[in-house]
Amino acid sequence: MSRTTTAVTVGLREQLRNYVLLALLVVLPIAFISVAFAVTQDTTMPVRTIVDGQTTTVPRPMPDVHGVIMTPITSTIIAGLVGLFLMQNAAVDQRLGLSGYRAREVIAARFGVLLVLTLVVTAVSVGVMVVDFVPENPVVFVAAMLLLSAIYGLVGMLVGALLDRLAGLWVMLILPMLDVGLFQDPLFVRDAPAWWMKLFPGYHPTRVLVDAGLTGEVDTLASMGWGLAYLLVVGTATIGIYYRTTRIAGRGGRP
Amino acid sequence: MPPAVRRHPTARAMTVRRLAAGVRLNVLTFVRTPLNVVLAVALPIVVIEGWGRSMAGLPETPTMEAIPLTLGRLLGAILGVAIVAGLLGLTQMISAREADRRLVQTGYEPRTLLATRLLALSGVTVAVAAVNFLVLAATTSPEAPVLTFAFLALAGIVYAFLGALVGAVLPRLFEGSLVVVFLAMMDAFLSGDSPLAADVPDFVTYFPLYHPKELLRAAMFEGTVATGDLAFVAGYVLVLLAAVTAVFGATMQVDGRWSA
Amino acid sequence: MEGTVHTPTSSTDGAVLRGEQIEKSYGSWLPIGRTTPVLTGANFELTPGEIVGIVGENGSGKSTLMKILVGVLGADAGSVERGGTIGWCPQEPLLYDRLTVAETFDLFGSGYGMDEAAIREARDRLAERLEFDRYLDYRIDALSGGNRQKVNLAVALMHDPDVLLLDEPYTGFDWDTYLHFWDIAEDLAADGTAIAMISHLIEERTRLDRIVEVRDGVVRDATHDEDAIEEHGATSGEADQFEAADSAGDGAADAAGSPQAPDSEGDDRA
Repeated sequence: MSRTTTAVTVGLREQLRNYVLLALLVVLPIAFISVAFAVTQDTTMPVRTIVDGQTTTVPRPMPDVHGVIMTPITSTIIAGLVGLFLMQNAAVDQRLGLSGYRAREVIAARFGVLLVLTLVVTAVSVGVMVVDFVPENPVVFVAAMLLLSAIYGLVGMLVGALLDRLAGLWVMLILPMLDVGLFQDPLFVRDAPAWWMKLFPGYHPTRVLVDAGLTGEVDTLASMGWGLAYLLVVGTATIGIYYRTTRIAGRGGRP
Repeated sequence: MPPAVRRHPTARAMTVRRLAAGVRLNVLTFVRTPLNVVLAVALPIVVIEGWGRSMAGLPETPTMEAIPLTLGRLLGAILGVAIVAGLLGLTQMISAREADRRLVQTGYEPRTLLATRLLALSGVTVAVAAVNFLVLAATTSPEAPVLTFAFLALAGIVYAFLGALVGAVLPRLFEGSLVVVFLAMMDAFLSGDSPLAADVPDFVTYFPLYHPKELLRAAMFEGTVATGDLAFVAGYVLVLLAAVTAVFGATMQVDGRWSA
Repeated sequence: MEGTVHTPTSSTDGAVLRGEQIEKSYGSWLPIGRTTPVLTGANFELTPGEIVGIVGENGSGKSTLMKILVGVLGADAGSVERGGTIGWCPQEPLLYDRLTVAETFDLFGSGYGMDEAAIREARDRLAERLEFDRYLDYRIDALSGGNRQKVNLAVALMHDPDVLLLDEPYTGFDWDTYLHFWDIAEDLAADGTAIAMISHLIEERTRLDRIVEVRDGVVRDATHDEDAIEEHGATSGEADQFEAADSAGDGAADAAGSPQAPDSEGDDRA
């Protein structure tokens, strides 16, 4: 087993023993997603989305709209906190680098853990959602969920590099709730979004989520491209900061 | 009959002085943590406007009335007070566990310490409610401003004590903060009046924020006191106070009993 | 220790670690704000087989110097040459809280390039000598401070490095373990390991080949400077670091951290 594989396996084990993360994975999806489907008034509401290249509004049951948007809210909160947790160990990761792990091995291991946990978070959130609602286009929906959760995991790591655990907690709670839960939320925003709303991480993936979740045809695949570009930029910045935090100056005399 | 034992006058003065010093130091500790101040000021603004605009942004449909912005802001103010007050209670209980047991061993009376904690907690909660009220009043026009402020403070006190109980069970700031935030959010969401939480079960009326919300609606929009709800909230506060006292006492156990 | 002889693997004139004219300041990354110079041209050298004590006031830059020598912190100016493998025991335990002691050894051992057998041998040997063999299956966050520090130290030693840089390595040790630590250190030095140790204890000076003092941003030899040693040292009796009678209490505190044992007042690391 290569060293990177060892580090990923051990790193995953370490994170999955975090009872906070486990509690979040169990409690949040039910409290946010299932409850949303259960208690929302059973009425129809207009949802702004793209159909055949045109921006239009389509009527959809409000419980579905609420539940569909609570799914990425849930996954972005948890993924963001995962990123935060991962960055808290940066000093120990640096010590691991001192023990002989190459920088690229440490980086690959840490981001490998993030990737696996993002998959877990997405799977749990979508899994709870499908108990009440199946998206019109499940494949694209899941892809957009993965993209959004991954972006937020990286943002969590960035925030963790800049702020301490408590301050980071607040940022990673408020940011997804404002971004996905308000600015990109079809429940609340039915006019064209303001230019600054489009700068948030959630803009492009959420457009796709709403489209893939609530309409028959997916017309927003271009947004997936933009979302991937966003992921690339955030990912590069995060890797750069992580590398700077954990690098060892001049590895000397290792036989 | 033996003569009644009279407390020495200087002992009572000592207690009062300790109380005053304790309250002052507690408040200073809170204010000297930048994150606390940022949260106490920024959170109300974010939550009140955020929740307000969300609720007002819900569509009006044939089966659903639009929610006025003011109601949304009110619900946001309740959430804002609950979160910050809950965090205050949490931090008070955590620092009580760490510091007060040692103080008890040096001779402080647990009763004095508890009173100090609860006074400081209540005082800062009222200040937090004031911030929320100011933000609310800046954008709405409550029918009865004094009552609105008072009931916001009351909602805060409820959550301050709840936060203290969370801190007794989970004396860790990070994890406890998560619990307080999500508790307050679910409570405010389910207790609040919105189509997003229309089909809630009946037991929601027992949630901590349900009756404070009813009190505030009456004060804000009608300028009246909903006495039934007030009685319920008062009872809630008393029960929570008893629980916090019991838990604090258990935490301060020295040799299996309260010292002094 | 088995008789492993350490020889420098690069030409550093006999020194296996050398730092020259090291400068470091701490400060705000904003244009405004104070910058505090900590090191202003520090020189430090270590040769095989010697044990050097590093003393200095709180905030004098001892840990900073050590971190720069190790490589986990970049200097603003100056150079560091390393002629061998390094083992670093940081002041605060840098370990993954939710891994067990055994898993910690596996992970760091794999980094050091040790095979499973070598990891196990080093782990068992050090666990026995530093007296934490009972806790191999305990999570790091379930250990008391003293035992955590033992694991922290053992991770630095396990790969038999050429250079050992130790930052107050025995914080929280009981007296017996402290003595075992010195046995290990002296054995390693006899085999050629170069050891530098940040320490506050006067009594250790007889065990040290050299003492250097970090003061005013530079390093000066203080081997024969009684004033410096008195100023920065404490006796072990005063140092309050040793819990001679508390090795039993230490064990009870760890037992409280395990899932089976009842909760204990002494250790609230649940």
